[in-house]
Amino acid sequence: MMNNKVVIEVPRSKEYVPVVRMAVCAYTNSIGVSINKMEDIKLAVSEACNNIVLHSPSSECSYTVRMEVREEVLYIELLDSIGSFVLEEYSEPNLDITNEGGFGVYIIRSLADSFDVFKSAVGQTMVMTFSL
Amino acid sequence: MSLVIKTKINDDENSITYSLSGELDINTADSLKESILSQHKTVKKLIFDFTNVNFVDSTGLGVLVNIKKQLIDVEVSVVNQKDHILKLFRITGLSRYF
Repeated sequence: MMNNKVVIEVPRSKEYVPVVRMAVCAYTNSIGVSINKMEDIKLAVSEACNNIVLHSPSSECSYTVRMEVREEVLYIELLDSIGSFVLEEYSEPNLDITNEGGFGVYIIRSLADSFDVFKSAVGQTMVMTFSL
Repeated sequence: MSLVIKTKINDDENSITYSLSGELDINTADSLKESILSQHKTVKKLIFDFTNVNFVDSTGLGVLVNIKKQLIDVEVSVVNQKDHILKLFRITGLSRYF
């Protein structure tokens, strides 16, 4: 398959989360993803962006979103140089009215085929996949 | 993208319908909360009409839950969600409460 990787750098503030959503819409549309699947992907990526900008907001920094299809699987990676989220410390929310937050990762896990967070010397990478 | 809120006091005067247009997300959720809680009058029911809502994220859901919890004696419902938004309510279990 020809190179189909798209990489965007986004300011680390909530005002730019809709920009990532628009990019996800455009990319998934270009690779022929159905509308329903596109909505799932858009929401999952948006929640990951929320996670980045809410945990350590800084308009001085940016993060990177990579989208690529390999062997009928869409890989979306969010590379974050700060990266304060620890997946191992995450516990799933009670699905009842007592919760006002904590749904983000639960939603990503519900919509994506896989979701992992990797730490490295340069920060943190969230990786989610969607079969096409 | 922004969120537009249109308010209609229904004929029975016991309910208010808030017709939302746009995206209920990390950028707009707080404005919805402030708007509803500041405008809220003594009614028995609040209805959020999502006919023109195209996107909701977890912060939007959180604000709806917060409104419902703060207005203890008021019935809060969400109607006319698009399929993908209804799916979000279902996977988070919140469809049972709205």
